[in-house]
This record gives sequence, structure tokens and C-alpha cells, in this order.
Amino acid sequence: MSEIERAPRHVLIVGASSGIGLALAQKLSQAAHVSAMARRTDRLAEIAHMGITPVACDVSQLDSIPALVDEVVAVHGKLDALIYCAGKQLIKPMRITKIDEIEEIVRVNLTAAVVFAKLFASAKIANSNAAFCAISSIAGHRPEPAIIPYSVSKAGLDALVKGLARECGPKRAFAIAPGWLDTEMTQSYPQIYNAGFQEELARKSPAGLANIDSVVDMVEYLLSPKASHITGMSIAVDGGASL
Amino acid sequence: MNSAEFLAKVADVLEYEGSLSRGQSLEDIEVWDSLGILSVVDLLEEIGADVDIEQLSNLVTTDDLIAIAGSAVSE
Ligand SMILES: NC(=O)c1ccc[n+]([C@@H]2O[C@H](COP(=O)([O-])OP(=O)(O)OC[C@H]3O[C@@H](n4cnc5c(N)ncnc54)[C@H](OP(=O)(O)O)[C@@H]3O)[C@@H](O)[C@H]2O)c1
Repeated sequence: MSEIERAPRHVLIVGASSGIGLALAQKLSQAAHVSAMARRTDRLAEIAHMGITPVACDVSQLDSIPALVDEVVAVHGKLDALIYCAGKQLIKPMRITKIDEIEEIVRVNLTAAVVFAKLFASAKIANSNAAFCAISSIAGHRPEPAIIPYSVSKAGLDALVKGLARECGPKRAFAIAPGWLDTEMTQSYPQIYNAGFQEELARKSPAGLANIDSVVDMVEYLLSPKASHITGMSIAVDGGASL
Repeated sequence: MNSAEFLAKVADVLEYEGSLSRGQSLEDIEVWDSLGILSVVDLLEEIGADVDIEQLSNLVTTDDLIAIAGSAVSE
């Protein structure tokens, strides 16, 4: 199959209003049609001029997801890639974590991703050579104290892509597991993600600090025909910090 | 909230067995470890005092903790 045939034409990015998802939407829209979902539609509106279709979606409303996906497929065609970036962090020792906080982390980071994966599995939604990409985390490989529900949700994503790769081939599925990156998610914990933390992280990253571009480059590679035999993997992009 | 109520809340999030008093050395409190500090960060945020984890790590006594809570805690 030629590269042109394999290049994604319609990419759905879930969680595209900031950080990794936004950067991916901007990059991938240069070569494909991007449908971009998130709650902050004002942010999505800012990238609509790039030909990106904004779609208001709160992934925690699980029942609303199928109709929204059906609609983007009806308008822009079946998916060639579905990238699940939506995510929430929670930094708290287990003993003071509330049950509704656990429920929300798992729902946004994992349950909704499984719902999107279920839709992706259908031939009515995604082409036979399509790829599902989940933005996981090194926390799923190596859970850190005080982020256990988050780590559990990310480990779930890693299992999701493995299972999806096995059940849905030749469609592919993979996860990217970034280390700590400078995005709104980490910036929302300034008491923890401070200058000292970042210096220590840089010191512990033998290949240097990873950034949003490192993740975007890896996603682009994995979606490309060059990676057509890579599936089911969760690939760390963290400068070696988790080694 | 007065300082006694604040220290009771700190003891609660730390799951410290017993009560904390003013002037008590944090170093002597076994549960004042990295997870304990994170629990107190969360408590301070809840009561509207924004405090950096490094600032907390450098505190010496419960009086410093009260001082760092600022206007959220009265004497
Ligand atoms: N930054 C890091 O250090 C790091 C490390 C490893 C993995 N990751 C993962 O990378 C992914 C992207 O995070 P980021 O770092 O780029 O942070 P970010 O800028 O905060 O992005 C999070 C995205 O998730 C969306 N989102 C959150 N809750 C949602 C909901 N209920 N419905 C729909 N969308 C929702 C947000 O959109 P709205 O708020 O507009 O809905 C936003 O677009 C996350 O899955 C995160 O766990 C991040």
C-alpha cells in the first residue's frame, strides 16, 4: 500500500483544546482533516481557521459520546485515526482522596477512552487501516506515590490498546506514555510542579527533558506508514526519566 | 478558624495519633513525611492558602505552619 493511501485523512482528537491535544491538532491538520473535541469550545474556536472542526464534548457524559462520533463521521468520513488525549490529574495521598475524585479520574481518563475505543472498533466508524492512539503516562508503567488513581487509569489505557490491537487488527492501537511535561495539567499544581521539581526532573532525564513536541513527533511517526507494523505498544517519551 | 482548630485539622489529615500543640517540632512528628506534606498542601489549598511544597518542607515547628497559613488562621 502506498504512503498516500495509508496517510490519515480524517483524525479525531479528543481533548484538543490545550496541551498535547492542541499541538497534535495543529500539526496533523496540515495533512488531514481534524475533528477536535473538548469542553472549552472557545479554545477550539481559536483553531477553527486551520480547517479544524470543533466539537463540544464532555467525555464524562459517556452516553453523549456515540452520537457525537456518528456526527463527525457522517460529515467528514470514517476515521483514519482517533487520538484520545483527554485527561485529568489528581495529586493526593490515597488516604485523603475522595471517592468522587477517584470516580471522576477513572471516568475521564479511562472509561470514556474505552467508549471511544468501542466506537473505533466498528467498521462503520473507522477504516480498516485506522489507528487508535491513547495518551497514557509513564505513571501507568511506574505508579508514583500520590498519583495512584491517575496511574491506575493510565495502566488501564495501556491494557486497552493491547486488547484493541489484538481484537481489531489490521486496525492498529498504541499508547504514548509521556513523563512530566510543561502543560496546563502540570501548571495547575504549582505547589508541586515548581522550579525545584523541574530541575530535579531534568537531572533525572539522561536524554534531556521531553516536551510536547517530543510527543507530537512520536504520534506522527506511529500514525505514519513507517510504523505500520507497530501495534499494541505503550511507548515512553520521557527523556529516560522513568528508567 | 483559630490556631487550635487549624492544628486539629492538620493532625487529622496527617492521621497523627494525638493532638498537635503550638511550638511542636515538625521533625519529631513521624507522619511529617513527603505524603504528610502533600496532605497539608491539600488542606492549605482548601482553606485558601497557596503554599509551595518546598516552603513546607523547610518549616521547623507547628508555629511556622500556622504562620504560613496566613489570614486563613487567626491566633
Ligand atoms: N502534562 C504531563 O505531564 C502529562 C504526562 C503524561 C501524560 N499526560 C497526559 O496527556 C494528556 C493531555 O494532557 P496535557 O498535559 O496536554 O494537559 P491539558 O492541557 O490540561 O489537556 C487536557 C485536555 O483534556 C481535555 N479534557 C479534560 N477533561 C475533559 C472532559 N471531561 N471532556 C472533554 N475533554 C476533557 C481538556 O479539554 P477541556 O478542559 O476543554 O474539556 C484538554 O484539552 C492527558 O491525558 C494527560 O494525562 C500529560
